[in-house]
Amino acid sequence: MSTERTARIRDFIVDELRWDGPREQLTEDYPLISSGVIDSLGLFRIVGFLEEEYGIEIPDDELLPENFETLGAIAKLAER
Amino acid sequence: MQTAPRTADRTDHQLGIVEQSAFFGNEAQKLFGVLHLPLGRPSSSAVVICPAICTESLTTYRNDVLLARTLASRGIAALRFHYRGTGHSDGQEETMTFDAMREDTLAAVAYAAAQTGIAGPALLGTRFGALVAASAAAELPETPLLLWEPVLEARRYFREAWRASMMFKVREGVSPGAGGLAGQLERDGVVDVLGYPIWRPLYESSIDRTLLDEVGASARPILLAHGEGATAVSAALAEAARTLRERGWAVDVEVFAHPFVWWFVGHSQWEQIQLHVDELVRRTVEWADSRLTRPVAA
Repeated sequence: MSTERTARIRDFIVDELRWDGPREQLTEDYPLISSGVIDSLGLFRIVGFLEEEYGIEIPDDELLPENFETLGAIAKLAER
Repeated sequence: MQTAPRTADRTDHQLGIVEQSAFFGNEAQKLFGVLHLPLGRPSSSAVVICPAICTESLTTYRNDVLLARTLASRGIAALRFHYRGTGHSDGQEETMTFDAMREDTLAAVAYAAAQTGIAGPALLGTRFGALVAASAAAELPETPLLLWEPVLEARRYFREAWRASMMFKVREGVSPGAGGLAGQLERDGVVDVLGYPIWRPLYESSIDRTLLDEVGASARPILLAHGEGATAVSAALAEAARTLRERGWAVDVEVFAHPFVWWFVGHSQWEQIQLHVDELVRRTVEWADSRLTRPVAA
């Protein structure tokens, strides 16, 4: 799994979604949804970001909670 | 002889405006609207505001009210209204179509013109309302257009609506389920998007429409307002602006530093967005004041 990709997604969450907690708290397996780091709007924007940044289209059947719960899961989704 | 509709009036002396709520239009299916007027003086121009639909109608309602009040305080009449099948207007949401929404907009324009004495009010639309405003304006040569975060393609809009609904479910820890919006509409005739239904007639009558097709051929002044976020959207809007300029339109583009995403209620970025909305209202009123107003006879 690309650490660069994970870092880029982390940057998006911090810079664009305005996560104001410590950046180092967002480890690859930190629970993003259940801890409230990202909400519906955040998820919506992350999907748009992934598609644009990596030139991919995420199919609807991949829009599942487990694919967005952690940075690692999101990065893996973007690599599919 | 057509009598003036009965209105329920509210005067705001601080803002220097009066707000008239009324039902107007076709007797068989009345439209509800609120006309915001400058207090104690004639209007210098007028704007009819075409609202967003679905969940965006809720999240942008205050924006429209703020805008209308600010315009009226600057001497520009503003009419907000509800499409048939929504809000306080007659009609059923199940039978809403794009063409009906355009007809309602034209009725609102006629009402605003009759009440204010201003021939040719400008049209402002938010999101899907921008597509409707553009379509109505195509039948009103030279009518200025003001479009807030306009839907450039209805197909993309409905995909966004579906995505927004799915992301809400993901946030709740629920797998959204298969089918897609089109599939569900085909099967059930209606899809719930964040508590608001999208019925098949609206979808089918809108799906292939684009802003550049709807605006028609008659050149006019246009303001495009956009919150920066997805590069693809910004690029598409820039391309639309370029195309309109090539057609001889006087195009102004106002860009804001935060994406205007109005699908969700009470999210973490709400306050950020609203700060930019205040700026959006201010810049829109400035544009209207400079582009629309004409000297009022003494």
